[in-house]
Amino acid sequence: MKSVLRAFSLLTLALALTVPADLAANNYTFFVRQVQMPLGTQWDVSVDQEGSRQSPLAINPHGARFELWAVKSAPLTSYLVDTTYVNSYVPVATVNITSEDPYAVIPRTRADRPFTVTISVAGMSSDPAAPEAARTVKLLRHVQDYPNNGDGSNINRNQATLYSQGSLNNNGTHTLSYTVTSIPGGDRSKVRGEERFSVYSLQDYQAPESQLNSKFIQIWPVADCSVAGISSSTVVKGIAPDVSITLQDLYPESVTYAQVYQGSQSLGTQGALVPGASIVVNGSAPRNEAIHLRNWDSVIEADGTWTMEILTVTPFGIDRLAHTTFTVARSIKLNGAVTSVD
Amino acid sequence: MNRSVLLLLLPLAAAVAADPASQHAGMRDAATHDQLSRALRMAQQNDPIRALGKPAGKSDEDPAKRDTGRDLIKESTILCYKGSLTLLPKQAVLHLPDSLKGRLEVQPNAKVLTWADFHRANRGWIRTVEVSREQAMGQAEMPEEVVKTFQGSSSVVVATFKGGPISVLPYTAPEEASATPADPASTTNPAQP
Repeated sequence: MKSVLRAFSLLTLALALTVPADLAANNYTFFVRQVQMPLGTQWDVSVDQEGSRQSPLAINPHGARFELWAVKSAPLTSYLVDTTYVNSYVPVATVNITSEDPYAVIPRTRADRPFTVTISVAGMSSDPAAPEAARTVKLLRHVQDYPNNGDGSNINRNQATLYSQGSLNNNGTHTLSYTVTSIPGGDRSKVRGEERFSVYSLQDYQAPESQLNSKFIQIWPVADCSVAGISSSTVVKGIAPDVSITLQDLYPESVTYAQVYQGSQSLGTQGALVPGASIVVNGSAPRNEAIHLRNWDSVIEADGTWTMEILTVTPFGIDRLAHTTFTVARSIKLNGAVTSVD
Repeated sequence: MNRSVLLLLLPLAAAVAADPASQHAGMRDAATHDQLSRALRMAQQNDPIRALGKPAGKSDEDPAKRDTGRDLIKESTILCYKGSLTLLPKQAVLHLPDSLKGRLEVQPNAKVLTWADFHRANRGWIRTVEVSREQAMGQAEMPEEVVKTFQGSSSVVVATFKGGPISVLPYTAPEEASATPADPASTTNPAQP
């Protein structure tokens, strides 16, 4: 039997078989299994949490499937995180997803922002006589929402919906651009979930359709807020009123703050930061926050019309979440007369 | 603007600080449901994957569903001792003495360790036997003298390849192998754990 040995970088495997941040952070133990096709001999590829090595186990002519599993103790549970199939004639594919957010741990963006999927395919045969599995790969797009405002931890990714599929039959880099996500959801600004793009080999006499590479991007909702304590009917005659700002779904990397400026609302105006009115979020999932403003008179000195805006700065730019215009009228007018007895 | 607040904003808003006027000029109102619904309708009409044409192979089946319900725990032999456990491929245990059969039972809340860590802590009762690729695939017999050395062992004997546990399929003579490939689900090894 002809033995085919293909160098296989487990670093590449670990990167290709993306470990979700929630798994990496929750004391999971990872196992990599090399499954020899078609008999199913399994080898535990002992790997460190990080690093690389090449598999010394020669791959059969029928190929081998590498599986990355995450296992936790209480309760004893396993998750198939990702798989990659390699074979002597099946093409090699890599999937890369980018967005405007440079976050390195996992691709992510917001429900209103675009993202780009780049698929590189190599080793595809142009010989019309070659098996179809050597000439074509299949491209799948899955979508899945995170229920109950979840953060993606513990979801069953096998329940994702197959949204669309197509084929690639030439080597090289293929770029797919998406303007917004297609994750299901009633309120499109509040969609949260993930889109997965996978490349599969075609079924042939040696193996079923098998995943060659896969990546997913997380989509987080657009932030929103409500402001209480100040409105268009507010007239500030003395001390500025207490204001409560309730913020929802602040992007995982964002700075959100309130600013005021004199005059009616005008998008794009740079005002003065309201003291004590800023929130910094730096995490892996959106957050809800609240800001309570007191003693913020120092930024509204003159009488007249003023505008308060709630702004959020993210990798996508500055978004205005809310604005309200109010009046400041502190000057005291005295109506009187001076008379003389003369 | 308060200095401490400025410092707070600096990590993300460096670009804003560098050129606040231009950043504010690009400010927009947060996207609404109506705007995004329209954008979605446009996107659905221009899905780049659908534009590739009819998919090759089976289009009525989702190959990703094939792994639904798989469980590494059920697909493994578990060794457990003193609050720790590890997972081995089925058919990797070549010999299991009666006195150690309890080591296959999972203790509640046992910590999951990799094979390397578990073996390091339990060398006293785990012995490894390096096998070749052909022996693991059931294409070559294990030497009789090797089998004899572990059959009477008081340790659990685990087959390894380059130090990693590996399942060992029963040896199948070449004539039989060419006639019918072995069914991995029905094969057994000497210990059958």
